[in-house]
Amino acid sequence: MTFSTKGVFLLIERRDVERMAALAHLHLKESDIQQITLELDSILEAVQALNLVVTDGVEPMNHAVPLENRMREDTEGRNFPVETATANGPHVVQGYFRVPRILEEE
Amino acid sequence: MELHTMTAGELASMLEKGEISSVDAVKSCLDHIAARDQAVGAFLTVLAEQALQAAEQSDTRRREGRALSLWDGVPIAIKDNLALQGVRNTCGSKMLEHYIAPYDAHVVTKLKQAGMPILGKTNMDEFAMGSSTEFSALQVTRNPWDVERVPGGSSGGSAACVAAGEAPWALGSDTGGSVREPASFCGLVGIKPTYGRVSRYGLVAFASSLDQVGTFSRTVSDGAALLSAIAGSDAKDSTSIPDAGPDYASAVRRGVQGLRVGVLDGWEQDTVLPSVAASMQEATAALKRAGAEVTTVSLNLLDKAIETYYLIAMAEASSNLARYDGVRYGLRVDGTDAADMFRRTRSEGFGQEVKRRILLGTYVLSAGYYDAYYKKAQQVRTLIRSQFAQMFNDVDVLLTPTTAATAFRFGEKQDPLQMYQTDYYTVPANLAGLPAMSLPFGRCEAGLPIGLQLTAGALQEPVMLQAAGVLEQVEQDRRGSYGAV
Amino acid sequence: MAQYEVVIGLEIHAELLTKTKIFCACTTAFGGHANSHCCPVCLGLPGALPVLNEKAVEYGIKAGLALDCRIPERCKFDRKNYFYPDLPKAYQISQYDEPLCLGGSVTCETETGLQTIGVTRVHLEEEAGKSVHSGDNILGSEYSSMDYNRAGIPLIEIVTEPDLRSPQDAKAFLEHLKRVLQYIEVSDCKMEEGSLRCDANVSLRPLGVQELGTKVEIKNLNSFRSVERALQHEVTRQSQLYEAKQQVEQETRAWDEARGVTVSMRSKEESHDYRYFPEPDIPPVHINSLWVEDLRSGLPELPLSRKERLQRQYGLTTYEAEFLVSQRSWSDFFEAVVQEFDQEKMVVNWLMGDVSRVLNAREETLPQSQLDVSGLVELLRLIDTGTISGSQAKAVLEAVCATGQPPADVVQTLGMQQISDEDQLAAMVDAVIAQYPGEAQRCREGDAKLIGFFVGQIMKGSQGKANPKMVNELLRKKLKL
Repeated sequence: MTFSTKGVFLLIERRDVERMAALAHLHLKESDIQQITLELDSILEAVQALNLVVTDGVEPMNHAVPLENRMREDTEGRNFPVETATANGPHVVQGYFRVPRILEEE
Repeated sequence: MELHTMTAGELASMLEKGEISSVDAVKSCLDHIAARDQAVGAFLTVLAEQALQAAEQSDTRRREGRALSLWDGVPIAIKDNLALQGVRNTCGSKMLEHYIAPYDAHVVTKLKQAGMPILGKTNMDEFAMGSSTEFSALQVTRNPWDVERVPGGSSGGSAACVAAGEAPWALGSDTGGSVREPASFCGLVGIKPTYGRVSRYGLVAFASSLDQVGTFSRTVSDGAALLSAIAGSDAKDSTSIPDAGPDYASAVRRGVQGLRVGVLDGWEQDTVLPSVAASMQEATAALKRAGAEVTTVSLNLLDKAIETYYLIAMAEASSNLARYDGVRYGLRVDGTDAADMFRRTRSEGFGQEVKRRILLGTYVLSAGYYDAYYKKAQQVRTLIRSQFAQMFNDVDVLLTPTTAATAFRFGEKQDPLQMYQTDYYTVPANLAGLPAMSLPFGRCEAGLPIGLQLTAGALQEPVMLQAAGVLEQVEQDRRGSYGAV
Repeated sequence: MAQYEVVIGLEIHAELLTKTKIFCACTTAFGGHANSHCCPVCLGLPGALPVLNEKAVEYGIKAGLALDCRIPERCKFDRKNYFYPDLPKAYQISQYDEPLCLGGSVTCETETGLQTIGVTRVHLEEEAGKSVHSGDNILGSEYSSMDYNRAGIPLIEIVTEPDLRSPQDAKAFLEHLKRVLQYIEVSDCKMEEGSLRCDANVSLRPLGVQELGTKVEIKNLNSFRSVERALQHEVTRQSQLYEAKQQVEQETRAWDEARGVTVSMRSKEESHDYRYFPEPDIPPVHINSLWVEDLRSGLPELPLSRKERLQRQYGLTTYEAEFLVSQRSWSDFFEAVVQEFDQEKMVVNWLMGDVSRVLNAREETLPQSQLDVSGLVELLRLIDTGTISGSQAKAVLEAVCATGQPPADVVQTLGMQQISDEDQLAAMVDAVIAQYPGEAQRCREGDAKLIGFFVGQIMKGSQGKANPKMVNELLRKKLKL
């Protein structure tokens, strides 16, 4: 549990922000972490208002329209030529997208 | 004759009568862009050559009696989060500054099929995250009514170009008000259709369950016509509603005799500008005079909509924007290994607001917090939708302000929460998947346009357009003009 | 060792045999130039959206039914979020809490007899792309090259209950599962091409204890052999830790095939937070019970019950039946042949012997081969009627497989028809007796062994075409034996 400089209880801590940055593959400048922590905290604090709404047994709304079973037939369509598929690639060698060494196995 | 100030409907009728050519119309817009866009900054990419070529082809078709639609030859601008094959698709971000879309969005295909020359691609808040277009990483867009003020956002470029007379109409996208709020700030008609009414294929995703393509125009009729042109099912979008949609244009002049219009109980207590409140009063009176029945309704979860909206939008955005990793397209900043390259690319490619939303979205989906935040928001969303459904048993259309105030000055809203509050009236329609539109009605003390919002039940766009048609008539009668400044 | 019980559960991924990818219309064909089977959807281009392939759902349901699962009325898709260069959208569309199939079981034969293994769930998801490494392996490479042809091929993930009790059982189960998926024709299950992959969870617990021990997940099991070896290694490693009173860490380990050891990949603390949430781009799928029943009635007989029936119905040995059910094409072929030619033993002997040998030599599978049911029936009849000899039949079989000609035509072309005309054979016999009068005399005097000499001479003179049985009889008659 941490308190901000104003002595207010924080919902999100610096290490949460660092963990989120790691998960989202974002590098935060040291100078930004403090500010972002406070900003995110104030947003989360505003969001606590939702706890006043009773939602027991309420189905979450995952879709804005009540559609189901939108499926396609298993028939082949047009795909890109290799040149088009790779045209935007920042580093393409012989039709492959090249990336620097991968340090982690999935 | 100032072609660029005309409505799309007027241009179409002159084209049909052979009074002008499409090349005339396109040239007029291009000239105006050249003259004005330096100051307005609406366009990120101007497609002069392609638009003229398309106009020439349109004129040939007209001469040979093969016009593709009523709108064949009427030029249009599109927001830069819509894919147009062979043209860069920046989304207002450094991440995609040099990305060339290799395919057409479904709505772009629809525009091409209708024969509309595309003038260019317009500026926006980065990845549509913002309410002022100040978060564009590439360019500043100014409100043509007052260049010291923002045009609204995130579709600020599309709104500004239509208001500035640089295009007769334009497409934008609306996730939480990104069409309606800039339409309101720029004195335009802005329509966000029912979720699923227009295909999202080729619309770069911000929050998938909320995003919808929408229209900017100077008149309600133009908005209805443009909606007809882009609506309909698409096999490439599993969330698109599987029918073609009605003809929207015919609803505009139908009147409101017997229509039940709702206003929110106690809305006068909301913190809205006095001039906005006055516009609301005048609009209510005008609708009553035209035969509508006005009643008060309540939606007590409305004041939870912003929080609900931001949780859902940020969560979806954190996932949608993960694909920008520097491997297949867009910016790459090299690193010592793949993960390092991802981090450097994303840290340099995304602006502060985008990062803020990705971080919070990541947080609310992460283990241990999902139920408390994301799931909770989705449950409240269900309740908001059912409150709307209940309300639409009693009324046909809901009238509210689009925004509590008119266009604000650059830099005026520094605090993210303050900026998010701008969307107070607009996000509920996105949460519930309902159609909503903003139309200009009255001016504030500073002479800036005020926008009022009409919201209807799912797929009830015609009802919304009926009420809009009546209000527009009142506004035109007292002002004698519309749209472009 | 003896005081611990081994507890193993498997997670199996199998690529489905649809023509197109799960969320776009790109081909699933193996091979092709890198990034030549791609479109906006499977490249994860900005603005692209997924549309579910109905066939993938159908194949998933078939797999679930074959594994005796329940098919809930509704399933949905979710996003599994993680960054990896082979994952175009940086999320995989998968199924989290409402999978396609739930709660099944599979009975299979293991060294310790018949065992029933629980199936927790079967769900659909999309395949990732493929990375080609510049060095010998991923970690030792300076860079990797990404090919997204594979990205978006439909997969089913099958999760078992922790019901397996030994590495040998795990391997036997996996082999059985592969056979089942091949039988119902939803996956070709080629571990060497990566269309079947397996991860294993393994833990030990003292005998008699109900509570599960700390489990370790093992990845990178690329062959049936490596499944068994890796699990064996892991069981030994964990039991040594217990013996030494040390903790087993909950972690993910990778099998290093070359060194024959498992190595730590990541600890529990480093485990991924996938941030699953419902996929907003895909509406839920309602599974019509009529559809399920239709698919159920279309399922073929599964390997284990077919094996039992083949033994019962045709009097085959366990070994023979096992051979036939090892691939559905063999048992289908066998049953089609015995419809027309009812000597089951002869049919199975030919299939296990010469047909297998010839196909192996040609590196063909039965469905690829030019040998069809009517071809084998015809060949067997030619042998049965004595038109050709057994050794000739082998040559005919090779020719049929090479050219696709019907056996009778091959026999004609090769001029192989046996000489069974009695007058013609009698003339041959007379000629040979006349040629070797001394031997003929000794024969008449009772040296029966010399019959073989005469038969050999006649076979040689007729280039093997003389019917040996008739020649034998004629010789015995003429030499009054």
